[in-house]
Amino acid sequence: MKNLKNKVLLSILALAPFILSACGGEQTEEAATNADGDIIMTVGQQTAPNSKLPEGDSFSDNAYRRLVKEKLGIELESAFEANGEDYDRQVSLAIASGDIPDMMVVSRDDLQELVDNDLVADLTEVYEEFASDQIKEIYGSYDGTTLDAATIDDQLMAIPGTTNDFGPNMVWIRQDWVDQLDIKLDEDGNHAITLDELESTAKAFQERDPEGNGRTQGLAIANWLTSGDHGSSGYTATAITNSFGAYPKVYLQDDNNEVYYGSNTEEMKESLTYLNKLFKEGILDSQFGTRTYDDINAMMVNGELGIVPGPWHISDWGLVQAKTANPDAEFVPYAIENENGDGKVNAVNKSATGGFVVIRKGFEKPEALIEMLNVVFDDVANSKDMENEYPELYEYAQLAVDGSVKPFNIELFPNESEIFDAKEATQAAKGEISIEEISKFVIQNNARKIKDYLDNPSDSDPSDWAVHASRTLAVNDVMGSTREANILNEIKPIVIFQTLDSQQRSGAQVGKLEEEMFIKFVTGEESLNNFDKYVSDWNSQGGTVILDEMQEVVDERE
Amino acid sequence: MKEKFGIRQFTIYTIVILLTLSCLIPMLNVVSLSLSSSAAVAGNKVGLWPVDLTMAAYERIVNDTQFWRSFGISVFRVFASLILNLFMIVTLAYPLSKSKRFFHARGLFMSIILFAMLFNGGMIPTYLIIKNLGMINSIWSLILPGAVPIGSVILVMNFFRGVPKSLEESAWLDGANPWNILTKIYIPISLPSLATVSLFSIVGSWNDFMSGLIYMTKIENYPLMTYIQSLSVNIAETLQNSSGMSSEQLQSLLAVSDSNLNAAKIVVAIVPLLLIYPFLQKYFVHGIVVGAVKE
Repeated sequence: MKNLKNKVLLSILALAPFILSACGGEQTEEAATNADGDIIMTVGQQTAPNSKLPEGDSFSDNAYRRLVKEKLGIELESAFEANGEDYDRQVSLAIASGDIPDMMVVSRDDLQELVDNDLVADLTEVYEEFASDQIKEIYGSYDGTTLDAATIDDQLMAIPGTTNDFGPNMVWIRQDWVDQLDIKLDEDGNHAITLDELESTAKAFQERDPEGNGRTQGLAIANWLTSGDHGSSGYTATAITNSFGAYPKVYLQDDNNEVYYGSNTEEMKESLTYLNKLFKEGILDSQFGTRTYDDINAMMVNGELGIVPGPWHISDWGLVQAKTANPDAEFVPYAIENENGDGKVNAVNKSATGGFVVIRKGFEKPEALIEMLNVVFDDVANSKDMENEYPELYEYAQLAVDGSVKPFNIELFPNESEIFDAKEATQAAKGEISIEEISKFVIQNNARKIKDYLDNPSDSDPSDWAVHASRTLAVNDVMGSTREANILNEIKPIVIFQTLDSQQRSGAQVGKLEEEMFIKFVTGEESLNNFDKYVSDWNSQGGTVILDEMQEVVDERE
Repeated sequence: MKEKFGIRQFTIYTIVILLTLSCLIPMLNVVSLSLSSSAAVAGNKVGLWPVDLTMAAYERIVNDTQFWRSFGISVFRVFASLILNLFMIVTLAYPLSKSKRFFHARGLFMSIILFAMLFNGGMIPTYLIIKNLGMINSIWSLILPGAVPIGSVILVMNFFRGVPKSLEESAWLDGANPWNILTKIYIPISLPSLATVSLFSIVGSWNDFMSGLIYMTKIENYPLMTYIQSLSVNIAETLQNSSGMSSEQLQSLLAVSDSNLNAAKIVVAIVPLLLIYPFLQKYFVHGIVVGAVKE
């Protein structure tokens, strides 16, 4: 189904140049203004189905738009509003019809299309001239890689959003069960456990059944088995494979700068052998491969699962369900020490880019975008007194209104800022610094929640626990302290923002091959002796072409 | 001649019952999901019967203004499409049901219609036409493109051909003009087939979500099915691609994927169709079969 949708989008894009050739030739025109003399700027507005906007506000009329109008004299008007894939379709339709809004967020592939057809404005100068120091500092923290992603022929053609993704990958373990069964975990206190500890804990949970429902599983993993990044590592075995030095689903470079695929390494074979052993011993769920995400999630909620692999924020959206169903359910995250016993923890660090904001070529006031960036990501984000300075946005924060309501649905934060933010929130919650002194409103909010939890752990709101678990336990304790203790072995995979032609052609096919074969390897349906055969199949079914094309891109960069 | 309830009968009944159940069970499941508590749904505990019976999801729907707005849009769309479709079908099918002797260019028109049935411009050209006609975000973009359902025209045309010629001839002799013949004879006699095509039209425009996605650029203009579609999130797929999403984004996506609430929305959305079916069903099978047989 997804494939089909992609094909539809692709065909739209393929058609675009032919239709576009009929248009064009417009130069800077006088921008339309409203009755008050404000410039009217049309935008492609991303939306969210569950926006939590207060009564009376909508995506067409909200606090951000009123703020932009008041501060910059720009009236934003939606050219279209949609969410997810529907938004992408509207963007494609707009490109195809040659009638794009003054501002919109697009993907890297769409950006290329727009630049090739000369539809978007060069932002190099306005960025240099208008961006505040704070904004430039944020981009600077990524060593320029983020801005590079939006730079085509030495011209900045879009303002990129930032995303970062860094580990280590973690497993969350039911601490109340650990205490109940008197299991010793992480005795050296470095927030990382060994594979043996993981295995014996899983075994103990399964055999001794602390919840007494008779259905406790040691370890359950979704059928996609691994993930290429930390953010989507929930319910996968990525943390385990990392401890073997295997980095599945990412492309890496070896010492000779040669590109290779992380799922096809000798280390991955070892990880699969280990998972196969767990499966045979019954520690890994005997229904692995057929149990769906919903099933595993339900097991977690029902107290049938004491070990859940997942990213730092899984407590906010996943584990909190278990905590709500059973207030005793206390998950605590741990990294996994390397299998070779060097005492280190392997992790993948991908700094990436999320969403590109473009300005239509010919729009009279391209600097409006930069000015809006300054307002949203500098003035508001760094306001010490939100409540009085931006009362409406303060209310939005209280209501947890979805971030897509901003004029452009991108985020802008310094690299690895999560660690700094979490540390600040934790210190403030513990009273080491004053909550009011914190410069960012979001961090203040988190600090208050953590404090509420710490003041009364046994009788607190599950969402307070979730913030405590994600910020304090996961980010501050595990991700922060492994960095401080210098036991983190971080590798940086190749990051390419556009879709390669070869990936377009055979990416899905080799991905499916990998997924199917890995399930068979783990369940023992296919012997691990055939791993090399799998690798050569992967190569011949299009993998080699992908590697070659990526090699070319990487070589070009240097 | 009464057949005994033998092994043959038994097999047939088993197959039919199994088929019926395979249609019924998923619906029952959705109904019980909608009546269960959110916790029971998240715990995957709901099967055919509701767990912790509650109307909470329905209470939330009552307060969802967009749901009712979209509901209204869909109802209007169904009625407007129905009237337009029936008018187009009848006025097109009647002349086409005449032989070449009365309607010389019948072959030409028939081939134009068949051509339009088999080929169309595709999504982008159609979008461009709608856009240039200024119908983006207008309810008419949901109604006009489907004004002539050619399959239904052919169905009704064949039905008209099945009407005995002598009826028309005697009307001629009594001085009726073609318009009288159509309204006084053909339409009353063809009610079964018209009921059938009405049902096609109603079900089709009620269930269609794609045109809403393409022609409506604002959620407030979405018809009901497009709105419900926009609420469905494939969590497993989302999680696999969730790098770069903040915890807040994931949280709000999971809140949207509230299967409990979505089940209730689906139930409310199928109620209107369930209400219409019994009234039209008796014509339904009859209509298709009769239209298929020619003299």
